Amino acid sequence: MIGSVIISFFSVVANQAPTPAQEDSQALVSGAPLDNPNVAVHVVERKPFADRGRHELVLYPAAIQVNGKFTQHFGSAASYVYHLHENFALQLMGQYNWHSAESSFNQELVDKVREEAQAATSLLLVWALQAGVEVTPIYGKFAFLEGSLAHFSLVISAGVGVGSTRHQLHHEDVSGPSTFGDTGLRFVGSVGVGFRVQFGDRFALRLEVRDLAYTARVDKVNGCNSADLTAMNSQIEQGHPVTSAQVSSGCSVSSFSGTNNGYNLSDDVPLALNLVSTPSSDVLNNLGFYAGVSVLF
Amino acid sequence: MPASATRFFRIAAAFHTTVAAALLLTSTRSAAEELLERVVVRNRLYGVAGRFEISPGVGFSLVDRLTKHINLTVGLGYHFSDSWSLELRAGYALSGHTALADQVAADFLQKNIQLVDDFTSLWEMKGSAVLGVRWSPIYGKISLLAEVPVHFQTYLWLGGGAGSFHRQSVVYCQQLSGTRPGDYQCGGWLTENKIGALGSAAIGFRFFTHPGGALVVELRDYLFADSYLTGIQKQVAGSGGQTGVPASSPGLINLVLLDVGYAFFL
Repeated sequence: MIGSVIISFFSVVANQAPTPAQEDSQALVSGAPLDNPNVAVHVVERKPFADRGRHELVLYPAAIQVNGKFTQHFGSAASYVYHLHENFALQLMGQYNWHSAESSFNQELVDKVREEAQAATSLLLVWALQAGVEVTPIYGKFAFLEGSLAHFSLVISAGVGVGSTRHQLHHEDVSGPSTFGDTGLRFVGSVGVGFRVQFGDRFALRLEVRDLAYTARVDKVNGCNSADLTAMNSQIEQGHPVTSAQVSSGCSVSSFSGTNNGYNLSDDVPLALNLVSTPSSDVLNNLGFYAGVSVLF
Repeated sequence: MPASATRFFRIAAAFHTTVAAALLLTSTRSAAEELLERVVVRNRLYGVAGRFEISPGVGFSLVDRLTKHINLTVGLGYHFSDSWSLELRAGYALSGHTALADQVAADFLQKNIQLVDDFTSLWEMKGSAVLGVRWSPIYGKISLLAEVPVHFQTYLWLGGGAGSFHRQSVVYCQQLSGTRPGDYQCGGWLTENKIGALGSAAIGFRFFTHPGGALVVELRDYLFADSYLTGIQKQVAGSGGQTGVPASSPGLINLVLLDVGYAFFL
């Protein structure tokens, strides 16, 4: 429906009465109306580089979150694309965020008014693996500075998969570095749109925006639920080591023992307990800009 | 030379001639097709050189933390060539606090925090006027759903000017009533207005609909100086007194908007 409206709009404005200049443009040069700009429609549609049956490896050195309100992610990604048809491909994608932490804005809330986002709202994504599809409904060409000619496709993608999440427990300060608690695997889905600009037969540049959505519910930290953390907190308050607490299987007590650059990791226990004692859930949208290069073979 | 050998060499010569002719034909055809493609893709159906432009638009802020903006703009430009133009763009933004900012203010009021620094990035852009240069190095064509050829330009925009700004604090309450935390109410927050320098940069697309106009979609950043007070004493502020000192290095505010509009070429 929307597509029809768009086509009608462009068709109406394109099909106006020809001007004298347009009539001149019908003259043939070397057997083709080269002065007629709209003759390009046929030329634009013809692709010199067929995608069907080809494989594509894409490396995205930069995958940067652009909608960071409470969180900030910087990472890299890679994907394998098999072009099943000319305009349809299957995709496997992996992403690792080498920086995932609460945003400076969230830190400002904590520092100034002792407030912060709900646990689920500030859940961090460490890595994600997805499988999906990619369609290229629009193909075009452009000239750069009246010189070089480039071919490009509009790329629309969608995928589902899993991702590993964590939550920041301690903010970096004089007492020690930032610490994080593992909050488990979560379902991940994504949609994306972007451009693939092809250089020659084998190489392409990709600029995409992807919305990575993941479910967020914090009920365990490092595998420890509220009862486990309560037991550990009791041991700490009684002056016993945290490892003496009786916890359920799957609870990684060792994550809360020892030190990290002078910071006592058992100090994370009340922070983690605070997170799980007030359960929250959310669906987070991590909107990211992805810039990458690809090789086709 | 035996007859069979002669016959072999004749066949080989004929084969070579055929292959060479085929290669030449293919090469010529390929070169012709490349020439045709290069010419027609570069042909501009919609030239803008030497024309004026009026472009109304509306922009929506993309990351709303404490403030939100809807910016109504109109631009007046002149295209010196198909690639370079100068544009004056003026606007007025419908702006305000987000629900999060209101919640932070309400929560802070009830907390027993007596000394506080105000928040960064709380200035709202109201009026704006920027003069800038647009560079459109890319002219391209796409087939919209394989039916309609759409011509487009991609451009970069860079400029500067001045803006009027408004700020309402979320921690500096000037009329504090109530006797204890949990019971406080605020009759008025500190508000400030100023006029200052404004920088702007954009990257965008123009999709020509006909020789007289184009749809415009762009990502635009407005950059302006931040300022806020630190060391605000809640009780002093609440009784109407002056408190707090300006932050020594408040930094800059980036206001990123997604603009959509239409350009009329005159």
